[in-house]
Amino acid sequence: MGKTSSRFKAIRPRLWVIYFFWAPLWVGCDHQNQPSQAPTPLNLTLPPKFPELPPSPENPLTIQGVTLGRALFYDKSLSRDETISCASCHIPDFGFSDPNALSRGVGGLTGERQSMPLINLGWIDMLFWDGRAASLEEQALFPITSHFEMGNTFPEIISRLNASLEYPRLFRAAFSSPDITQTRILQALAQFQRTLVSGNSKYDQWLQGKTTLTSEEEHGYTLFFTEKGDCFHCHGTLLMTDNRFHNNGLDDVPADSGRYRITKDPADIGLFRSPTLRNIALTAPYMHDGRFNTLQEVINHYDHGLVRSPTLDPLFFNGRPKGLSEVEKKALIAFLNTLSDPEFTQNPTFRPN
Amino acid sequence: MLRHVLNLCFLSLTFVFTSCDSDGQTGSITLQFIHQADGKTLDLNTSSFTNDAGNVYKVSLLEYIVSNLALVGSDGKSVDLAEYHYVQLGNTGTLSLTVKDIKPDHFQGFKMVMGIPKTQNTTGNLPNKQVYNNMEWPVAMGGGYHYMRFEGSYANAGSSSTFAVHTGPNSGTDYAIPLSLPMHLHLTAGANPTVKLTMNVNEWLKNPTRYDFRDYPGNIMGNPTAQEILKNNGKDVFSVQGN
Ligand code: HEC
Ligand code: HEC
Ligand SMILES: [Cu+2]
Repeated sequence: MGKTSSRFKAIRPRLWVIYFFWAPLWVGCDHQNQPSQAPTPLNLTLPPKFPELPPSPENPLTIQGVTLGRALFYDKSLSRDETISCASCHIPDFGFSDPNALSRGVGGLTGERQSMPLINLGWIDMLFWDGRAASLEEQALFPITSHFEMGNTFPEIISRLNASLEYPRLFRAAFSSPDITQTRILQALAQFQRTLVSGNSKYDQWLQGKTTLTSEEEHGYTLFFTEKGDCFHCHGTLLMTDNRFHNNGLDDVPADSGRYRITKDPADIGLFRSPTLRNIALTAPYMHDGRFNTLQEVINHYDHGLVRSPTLDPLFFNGRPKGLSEVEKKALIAFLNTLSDPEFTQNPTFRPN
Repeated sequence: MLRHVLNLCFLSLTFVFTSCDSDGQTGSITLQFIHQADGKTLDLNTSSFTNDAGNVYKVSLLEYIVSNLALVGSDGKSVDLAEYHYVQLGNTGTLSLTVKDIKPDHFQGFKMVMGIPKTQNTTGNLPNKQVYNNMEWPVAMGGGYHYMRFEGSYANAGSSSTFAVHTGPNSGTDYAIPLSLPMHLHLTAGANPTVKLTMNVNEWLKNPTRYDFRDYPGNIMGNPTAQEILKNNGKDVFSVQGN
């Protein structure tokens, strides 16, 4: 959260003026007379008014890195028995989530949580429902090695990739040398996932004055962004999430203690990271354990199903029912439906090559 | 397989220009934000505190924005320090702010606004980062940013519940609190004294009007009565200490 203030013009910084020039030169010596090209930097075009994408200086986005990451993302040979790819549980048509309550990995094993949609990940620095991974580079280690997801090891993956015809070329293009390493696999996956930006839903177009909402959708918007519905505190801003942890009243004694597993702070029992509501109509079932099948069930939960516990978020009035009418519930759902972004889910560059 | 060797050469040139246009004739000050309830240090989710209404409470969130921070010089003129600053209990990086390059003086006061005055409080006026964006006051409620979010749980004689005190520009009304606090601060060249700004959260909840969490458990963003009470109570939540 770091720096938080800017100064008045009257006291503009004049003590130090630091110029930092950084000029990388790549020199390629190639026996076969085909000079290795440095990968081409990729500047993502962000949707209007989106916050700046936090930089990833250790792993800058390049066109070739993203291409490699995309190939890996859809490649089943990353899993032990070559049956599961990242995309088995993160399917574009489902907002890069999957329709199972608990996702299924190698050998038909069932995981402990619902798959998460992969949307606007570049702005998240505490990944997973419990925030246990600080970067995308760190994150992909978990599914690849988890016995109920892909159940593989890096030496095995690296030898498979080395044996392939395509990958050495893709790695060389992405990293200027054909070495296939764990770090590079994770970096390439992270690069591809950083490009999965969604910001052109009907709601966005309405904010930009390019389209109109129906009166029902607009009613839902108003409920969402006022205290009557009070969704905005946790699912607000253009990212449609605060990326913080909350207990939204699912259980009094949660089977999965969420953030507490990581921090061991009793105040974190039953807290999970608020997910973005972008493309929410596509990512059913809902919540970390996929307990709700429809948005109707979700709205009913917030309306009158909140369960009290010592860590229930104070925004929920100790579980007091909201008293939404059927018309209001329908309006909220209509608004949530405006958050779907076909340009995101149908984007051919996000799909397998 | 034949490995093609690639030579990677990084040429880093760093030019550092140093310019001290006042020849070391300036100093710095560090503002430190301290939080307590009637003298007891505030913490998150651990200690219990008691307010004027007898609510015994714990705090789960305290974050706020102060703006237009300035020192008052010996000549009575303001020396601007920062346009705004975001503070969050438990987030160390936000609990202090160092401002460099200040002319030595015998300062006689400190000024700031708790919250953001109406003219500056429009959505998009703060840097486009999640930490500020999370403070947004929805456009559907008039836009701008919250001044403060103060949340937790409390108990009163057996019953327990939660509270959420959110202040801000309800429907565009200005509830920000301009503060002008006498302080003595002697700044010499090259020095970096600390100015301690202490928020006594219990002052939000009394004087002139008692604020009982049982009367206002939450949803007060659109409640002008609650916003007015908090604005008036807020005049003496901060105290300042120089050197
Ligand atoms: C077997 C199903 C499965 C597979 C395969 C899988 N994931 Fe996931 N993914 C999940 C589940 C379940 C979660 C949430 C887990 C948790 O929070 O503990 C998740 C979470 C994530 C997240 C965190 C998103 C967020 O918002 O915090 C990312 C990123 C991710 N997966 C990327 C990948 C990548 C990359 C791969 C391939 C290397 C992959 N996943 C393979 C099921 C899967
Ligand atoms: C206090 C914060 C908070 C508020 C207020 C809040 N939510 Fe949530 N929401 C969460 C959290 C945290 C989760 C994830 C909980 C979990 O899975 O355990 C969540 C999950 C959801 C999901 C499921 C997302 C998914 O990918 O599975 C939907 C849909 C949702 N909320 C909609 C809403 C709506 C609509 C409102 C307003 C009526 C609302 N929320 C109010 C914190 C909040
Ligand atoms: Cu609020």
